[in-house]
Amino acid sequence: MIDVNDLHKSYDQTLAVRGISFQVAPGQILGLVGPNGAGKTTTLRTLAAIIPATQGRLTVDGYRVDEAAIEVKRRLAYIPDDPQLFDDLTVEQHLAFTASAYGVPQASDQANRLLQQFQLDDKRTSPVRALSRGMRQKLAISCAYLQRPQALLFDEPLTGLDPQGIRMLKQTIVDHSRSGAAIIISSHLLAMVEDICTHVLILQQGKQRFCGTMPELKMAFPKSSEVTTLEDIFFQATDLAVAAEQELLKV
Amino acid sequence: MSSLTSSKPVSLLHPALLELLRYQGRARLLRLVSGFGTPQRFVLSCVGLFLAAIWLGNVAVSVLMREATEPVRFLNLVSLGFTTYALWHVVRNAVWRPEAGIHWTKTEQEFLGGAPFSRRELIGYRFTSMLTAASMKAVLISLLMLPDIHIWPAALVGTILAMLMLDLIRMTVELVFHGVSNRTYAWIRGCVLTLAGGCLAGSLISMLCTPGIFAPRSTPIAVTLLAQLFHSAVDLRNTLPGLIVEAPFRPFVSIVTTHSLASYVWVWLAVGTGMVTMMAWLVLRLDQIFRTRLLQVERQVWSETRALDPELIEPEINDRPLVAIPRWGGIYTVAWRQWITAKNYWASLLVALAPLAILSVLPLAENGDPVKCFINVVGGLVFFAFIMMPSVFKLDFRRDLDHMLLLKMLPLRSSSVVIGQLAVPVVLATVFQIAVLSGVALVRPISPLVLACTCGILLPFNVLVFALDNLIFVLYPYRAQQEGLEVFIRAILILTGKGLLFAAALVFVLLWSSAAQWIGAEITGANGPIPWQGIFAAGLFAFYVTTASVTTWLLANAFGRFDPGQDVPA
Repeated sequence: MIDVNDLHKSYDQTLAVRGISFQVAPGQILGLVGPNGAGKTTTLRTLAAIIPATQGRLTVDGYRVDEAAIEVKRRLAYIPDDPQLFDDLTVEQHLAFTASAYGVPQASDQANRLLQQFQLDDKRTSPVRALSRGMRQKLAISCAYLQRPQALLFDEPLTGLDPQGIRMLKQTIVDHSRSGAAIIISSHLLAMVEDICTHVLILQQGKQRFCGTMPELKMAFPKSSEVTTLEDIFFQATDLAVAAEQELLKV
Repeated sequence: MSSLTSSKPVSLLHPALLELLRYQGRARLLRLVSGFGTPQRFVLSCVGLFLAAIWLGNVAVSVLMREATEPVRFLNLVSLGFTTYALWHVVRNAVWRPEAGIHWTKTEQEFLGGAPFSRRELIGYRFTSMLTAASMKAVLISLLMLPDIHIWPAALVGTILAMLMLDLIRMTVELVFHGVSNRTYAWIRGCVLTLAGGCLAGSLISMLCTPGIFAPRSTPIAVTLLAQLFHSAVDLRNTLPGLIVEAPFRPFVSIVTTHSLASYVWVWLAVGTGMVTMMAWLVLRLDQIFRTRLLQVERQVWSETRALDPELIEPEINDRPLVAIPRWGGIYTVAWRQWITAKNYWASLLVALAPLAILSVLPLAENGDPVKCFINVVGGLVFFAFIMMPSVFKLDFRRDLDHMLLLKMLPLRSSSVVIGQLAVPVVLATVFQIAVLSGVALVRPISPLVLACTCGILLPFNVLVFALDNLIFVLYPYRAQQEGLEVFIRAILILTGKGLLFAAALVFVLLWSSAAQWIGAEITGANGPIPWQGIFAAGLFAFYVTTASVTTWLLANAFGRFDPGQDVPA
């Protein structure tokens, strides 16, 4: 479904992403982890055809992102970390707008279901500017689900959500993956990534440190202790990389 | 902003807030220097500075070289200027109720509101920012008045105090209009609007009934009407209500227009400073009173709501269908969203359009040929459309800086998004122009064909105007609340660029009219089937359609390349 091959992205003289490659098949959930400035958001935005890649071949459902951006956008939903919604529209107008822009037929039933699921049904006539941060996040996710995408890209999806919202979002992500969607989640919450992701990609300073399943990850970074969490592995992977770079600098 | 319960005596300005103001000043300076950061910005900044020097030099020369205004007239101008501005605050807040007693930015709310500052200190911080802004404005105003004033330091101090007074009056009005109950506000609104409407109608009637006002003369009718309006205002100033309304500014007007530093000036200075201090105290007191009142109202509403049985409250939940929005390749979808925004601000749009409509139809006041009158109205409309209309209808990319990511995410072609974004402002501007022209055609009958042709040409013209403004914005995005040299340079660049384009378009129209006459005579003969006016209109239409299409295409390309992560300014 999602195929990224040798992705590079540079801004002026800064190389934000340096040759990463990965695939996400239908039903898989890829956790994108890395320190701040590692290139996670840039990767997602490039994949969502919002910004062009400097180099590399990216495809979604067989469509190349650089050649068929609109076909790609029709098939995926990108939920940014801080969704800036249209403040003048109401909640239901936002959903109507999304249904129209993505050409979703008979969206009303699905919209009503999503509004109830995300506890926004009593806010449907409220303007977006009156919503709290968490509610805006819920609305952005509802809009993303409304289009029934084949691929979902989440950038820090749990920001601002209440505990109930977090549990529900995690469940819906798993449900979407079971129904055949390819999902990428960028997050600093390693426990959540470990909990629901089938694959993990560790990024650091734009470079790909590791990409594989959780068992493969544990094998790649063995540790003396019996219990090895993703958090342990993450620090091991990033510390090793820093040490290697320092060694290289010494040489 | 919190801190309602601060009982201990506190200073008016916390040292940390003073430090913050200092840092903000320094940051502005740094931002000013960073305007020269990249080669592209450096070149643009240099061009902007050069143009600014020419513009400002021109203004400076015209200020210094002009003759001094007659003392009584100058006094009237200063007094009426301050009073009108203060009254405008009252009328504005009567039309649009303020959303808060004191407006705080999001950063102030989240950062300062959460810090251990008392309410008094926060308002003191606001007063200090006002003083800084007022001082800068006062320097500029006093320099503009240089030929008319006698003692510049006195004029500067008087203007600073007057500007502070204006800000304090605005704060007082906003506090009261926000804090009173809905019923009281409705009553105040009714009174203010009735009074304002009465004064305006009275002035207009007296102006229009002046004998010989429409007699042919060398000065333009607009200037004559404005002069008459000024005379009416001066007459009003000399009445008892006028003297009462003007009273808060009397000391400052006396200081600004003084001829010598006589003892009475010092008395006025003491009185003026005392009045400003009193107003500052009043603002602090009103803020406390209305915050307490609003909290009481909130508690009362809560206790009443609590008494209600939740089972009896009708749930708002319903499963009604979503509104079906036609797609049209996404163009209608994007335009629909802008239309919703336009509907939310229809009153503001009407208020902003009213002066443009009045200024456009002024040629009607002149007796003369209907065709000449129609051309003058069209000329006015075109000029306003080019210079002012894009600021009125900001229902496009210029309002969507924070939504660029969302727009880029949509599965739509860049061209569809651009056309959808431009549709609403273009249609609204065209409808406004057609309404004005139709009104003019009713008063001074004109051929329906000429009217239809003009309206047809205005549509691509408006597309060109809005596409151009949006293209500049997408290439060099900025935030509306940005300030400093960069904004000034941008304004100068845009104004000059637009002025040059307007002049070029004017030259083209003149040349094309001659060419159309020649083509008409050469090809179809003097009495041929196609009159030269038809050729002229068709050529003009083709020109605007072509340039509008090219500009829209350039805008679509610029939007396609726009990177929300990099190009959106902080």
